[in-house]
Amino acid sequence: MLDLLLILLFVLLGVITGIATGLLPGLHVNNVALIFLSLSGSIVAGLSFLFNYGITEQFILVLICVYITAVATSHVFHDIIPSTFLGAPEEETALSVLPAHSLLMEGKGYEAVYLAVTGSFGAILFCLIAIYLIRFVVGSPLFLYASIRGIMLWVLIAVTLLMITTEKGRIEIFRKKGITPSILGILFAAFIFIISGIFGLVIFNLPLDSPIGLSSPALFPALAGMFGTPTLLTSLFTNPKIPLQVIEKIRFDKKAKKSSLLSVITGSIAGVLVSIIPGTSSSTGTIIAMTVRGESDKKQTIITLAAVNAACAFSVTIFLFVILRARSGATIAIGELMALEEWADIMMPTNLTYLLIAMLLGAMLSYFLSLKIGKIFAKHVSNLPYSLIVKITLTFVTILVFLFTGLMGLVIMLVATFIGLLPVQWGVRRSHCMGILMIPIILYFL
Amino acid sequence: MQLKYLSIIFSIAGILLLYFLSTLSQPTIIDLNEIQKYEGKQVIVEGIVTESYTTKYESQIITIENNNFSTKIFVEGETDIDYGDKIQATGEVQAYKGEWEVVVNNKRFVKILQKWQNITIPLKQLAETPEKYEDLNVNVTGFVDTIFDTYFYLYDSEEEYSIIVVYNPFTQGPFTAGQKLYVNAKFVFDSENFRYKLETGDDAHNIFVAGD
Repeated sequence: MLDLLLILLFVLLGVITGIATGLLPGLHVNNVALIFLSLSGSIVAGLSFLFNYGITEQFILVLICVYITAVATSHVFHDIIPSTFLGAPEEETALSVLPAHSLLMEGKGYEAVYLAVTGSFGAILFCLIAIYLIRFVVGSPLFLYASIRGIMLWVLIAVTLLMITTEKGRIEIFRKKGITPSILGILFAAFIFIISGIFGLVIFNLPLDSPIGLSSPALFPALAGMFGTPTLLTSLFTNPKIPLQVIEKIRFDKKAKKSSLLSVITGSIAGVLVSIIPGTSSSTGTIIAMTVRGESDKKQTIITLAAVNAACAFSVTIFLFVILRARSGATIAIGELMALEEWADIMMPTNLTYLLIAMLLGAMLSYFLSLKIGKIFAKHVSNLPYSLIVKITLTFVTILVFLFTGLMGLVIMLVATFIGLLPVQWGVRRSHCMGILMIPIILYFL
Repeated sequence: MQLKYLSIIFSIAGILLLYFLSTLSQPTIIDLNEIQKYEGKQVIVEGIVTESYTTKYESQIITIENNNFSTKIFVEGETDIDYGDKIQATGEVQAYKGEWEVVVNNKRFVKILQKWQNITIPLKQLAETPEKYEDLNVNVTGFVDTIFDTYFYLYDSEEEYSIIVVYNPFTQGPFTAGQKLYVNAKFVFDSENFRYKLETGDDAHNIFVAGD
């Protein structure tokens, strides 16, 4: 009974931490996992009084993993709030506007949060229902992972071509009409992909030195620079006026319900797929899902992207036990803390059961909490000094990058910001920046 | 100039700057006994392969030894190394389950400096420090002494040391007493007879007659 109570307590603590990591831009669950991995010895020592109640050292390590899983789950939900309410550009002047920012500028920020949170929760439920199917397809007897691994180079090349050739941005520097702007858009997408890849190859050889002794990989400042700071800077430059937000009960008509369900299902499947393919991201998953569906409605894009994100977070934990491979910072930490028993037959390994409890309970709590917090943000966002908040956020991200990666990390973030500004300024998709991971991985498989 | 053009210029200039910084901070070759000082840093280690196995998911874990210190190297992918090869690996020092290891994220960063067949070890050296070579592939030069059905004795030029060489008479030989041979074999301890011997059971093993 005590072990169950401890699991519930650690899930609750994880959800609360996930609210903090989700709401503070730049603070990622991977950093929290890294901190807890390095502190695991001290945590076990601090909780050693539990030994008197029959709780073993191994179980305390399981509790840390439960906590990390709950943080990761809660982060997925709460991360939606700042990405909706922060960094929105003035729509008139910006070429590339994220769907959630577009709704925010229409006074529908809460609706954007609601759609994303619903998409995330739907994906968790879908993955839970399909958990055995996922396990049998990815692991034995169908061995999808082993099959894909054999042709990974071609899979990655196909995903790259799909990402670049489906670019819809138009670059009108020479001509405004005809096919030329579309071709230039695709060529510029390829340019961003390649330049990001070269950047990725260069930074992996750079030495990073954390002043607090918690070195993060070079990817941390690179991704913060590519995907975080450009949005915030653009918002700062364009100085948008956030309209008063409408907060009302969101109702789906029959068509919207059907479409949303389809978005959750395709997003979840794409999320599971991109968790298997190294170097791909949630945005790649969204492109795959939207291409398969042939849908480009911004509300459905929000649901799909959220579903891909949540399905990714869910399936990387499952895959840790099915293919014994860690695909995220959080699962790397879990892999080092707890014994990984391969899920080879019908019965699920006990440690995976604990993590599933953390994910499901964490998702349920996070669903209600993120809607509540989203409502509070929506109520007050139009009255807040928006530029000041964006400036504080930028400063906070910069401090985090310095703490985890030192001066070299700041240089990496600066260069990454310029690369991240390319898609924002030229009006093409930001996901082309994922070349940072995909090109080094393609070269690895060559 | 507009930000959209400036971002192209600064992206390219920034990558060039980072490339320049990366050339200034190339990893250094370290001794295996000081590996713990380099946690989280890129290093180069060198040593003789004493153990190697491939995991279920095609990663390779290699143990190397140098100056009586050893360390594990975790390689993403499978390399062509053999026991006894002298190799160089470039990767990041990490602690894994209480042990230090060098994590190499691409098999291309594991270089074979010298194949074990190209490192000739005198019988005297094997006799004086056998534990250093136990279970390794070695290349030994010597002269055939007494020949039996499946093994023969090999002695050194000073006739000071000799060792049993186990061979397959159907695929190797025939040999004659006094013949000079280059033996590529595994140096193993024969616990039943309490002695060391050279075994030529693997495809990589061979016996060459000098002058052929």
